[in-house]
Amino acid sequence: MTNVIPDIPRIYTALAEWMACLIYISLLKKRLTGWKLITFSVCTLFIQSIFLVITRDLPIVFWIPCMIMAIGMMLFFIFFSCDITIFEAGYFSVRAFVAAELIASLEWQVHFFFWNAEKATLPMELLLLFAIYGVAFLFIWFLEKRQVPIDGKLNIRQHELWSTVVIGAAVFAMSNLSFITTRTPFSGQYAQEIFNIRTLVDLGGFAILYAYHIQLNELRVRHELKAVQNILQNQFVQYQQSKESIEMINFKYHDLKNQIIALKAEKDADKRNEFLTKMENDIKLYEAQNKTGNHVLDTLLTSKNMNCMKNGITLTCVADGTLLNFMDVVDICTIFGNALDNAIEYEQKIADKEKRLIHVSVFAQKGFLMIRIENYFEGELKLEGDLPVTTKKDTFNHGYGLKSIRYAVQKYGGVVSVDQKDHWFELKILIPLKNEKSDL
Amino acid sequence: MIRIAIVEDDHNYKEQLIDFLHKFKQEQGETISIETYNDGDEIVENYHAQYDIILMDVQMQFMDGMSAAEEIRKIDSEVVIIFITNLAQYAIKGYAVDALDYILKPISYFQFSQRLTRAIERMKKREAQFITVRIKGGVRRFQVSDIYYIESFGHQLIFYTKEGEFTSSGTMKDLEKELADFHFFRGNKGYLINLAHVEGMNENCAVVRGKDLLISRPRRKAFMEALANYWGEVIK
Repeated sequence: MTNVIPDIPRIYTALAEWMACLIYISLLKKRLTGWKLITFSVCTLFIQSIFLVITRDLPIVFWIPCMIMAIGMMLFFIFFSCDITIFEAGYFSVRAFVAAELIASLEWQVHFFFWNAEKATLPMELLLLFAIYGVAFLFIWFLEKRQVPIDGKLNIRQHELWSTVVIGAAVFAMSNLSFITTRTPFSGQYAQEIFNIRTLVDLGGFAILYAYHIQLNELRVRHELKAVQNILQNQFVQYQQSKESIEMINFKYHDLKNQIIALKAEKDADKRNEFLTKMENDIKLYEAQNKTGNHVLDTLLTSKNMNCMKNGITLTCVADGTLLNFMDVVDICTIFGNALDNAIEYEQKIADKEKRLIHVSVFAQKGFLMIRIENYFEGELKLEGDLPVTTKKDTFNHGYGLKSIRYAVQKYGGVVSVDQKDHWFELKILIPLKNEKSDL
Repeated sequence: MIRIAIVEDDHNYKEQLIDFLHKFKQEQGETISIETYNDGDEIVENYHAQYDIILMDVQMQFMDGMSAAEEIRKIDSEVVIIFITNLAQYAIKGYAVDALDYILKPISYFQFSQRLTRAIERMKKREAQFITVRIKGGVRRFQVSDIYYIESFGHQLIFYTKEGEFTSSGTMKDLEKELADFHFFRGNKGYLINLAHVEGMNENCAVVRGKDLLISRPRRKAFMEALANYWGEVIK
């Protein structure tokens, strides 16, 4: 029973790892396309196979470092083929590794069942290999396809990557324990049993990661949903405003007529002026329509401005809305809706109405879009590290809103920066503008 | 000394602005010179970049504020233009003439002084500063804003500047320390980039004066944040 169990040929492992990478690459947003991608993948298949085959006979102590190298290659393959962050690449390479382990183990188990370590004929062996790899990977592809967003960006963060790595490592350790030693409570004794353990543990690991993935995805969807709700809310507010405006105009029409008659009759210049100022202020609300060149921004600014007027806040804005046209409606709403809500909420607490000031600017600065939202601010801003994660103790509650803003801005490769200058709180967003497709 | 021009056709508002400026001068201890114009065409007529800040009414009889600002921008890209308007709608397109700030009528002193303070701060950040660098065959003084970026090759530093390339000896680490007060960013091991000259992003590169300089991926976020903060400080 102590004879060495024939393990999966390394070339099979290499093929499984490579195919698993390809599955995820095909679903993500690619950096390489066409021939470049094909050439690159063929090269990686060669390198991966050669690496795994030549390291086969190394002593057992090198086994773990070799496996880490193999995952490193997968990471490299995914990272350079796709337009994703290193965190996302790490996340998907762990998932691809577990999938590859599962399929390779499954195939070998079936192989062992049929031929029991004896040499089968090559065509038969290859037939089994391609049949199992083909069907299994196709199945995984269908499973994953539904769960990876179309633009391929998941916004994986560091802690999410670490959870995945820990799960992946645990699965790998448990599934391969029997191959290193049979003297643990978790090891199997017989070949078929050992293979079974490995396949099942890998299957469990794959299922856990898949479930975790779905959970992450749902979180992302929920973020978007919240933004959509924000839009609907805005549209409703706009609708209400137009309705109110029309009613008010009809009403004002009669009012103004009477006021003009009264004005004509008024002899006192001061009173007449007072009258006129009042009329001016009355119509001010209806002039506050913003025309920035972007409908979504216009709507948002108008509704937020109404809110500001009600609260005695002066909102000023210089904005080239056309710069936002490449952005999703959802994201524009998320960014401006949240930023302005936060600012308005804060300004309401300032006692002196004269000090309730908010200034918004949207402009192009060289090859970047810059959005700056400033509001008058009393007190001290607390930052956690250099990131705009405000503490909960802070009365200045930018918590959830800022997270959503950052989330939306990251989609466009941008950054959010928050700081305080004298008595002004500044939220700055910088997004690179895509230049014309000159390269690639 | 801050040179300020007021362009305003309404006598009452003009008087109010002058009063505010005097009050501001006393409060902040700044020396300010004030000149006034009654219409956009008056200031444009004889303009030769003689002001630091222009307070400009938007609606005027002969030449409106926006057109006057366009004319001024042809000559002077540095002057801070602050529009003064009773209708926000008129100033919303200020970005077209690099006027990112405006004051709403009726003017409150508080709003006025806040916006002015901010403008002055940003103006001062843009004042010329110099460093001296030991280069082959002597010492050279550079205006910091003329340096595009610095590349290191072994123990050599190559300065890419408005006046050409200069080689100096030294290490990146020391240079980084020396330039710490200015807006430079270490894009990766080999480059120190003047943020003022960054023109855009191209995949993983920053475009600096038409050249693609690689920004290492882990630094990309910090680089863009530094850029956002830098522009936040210097742009009107």
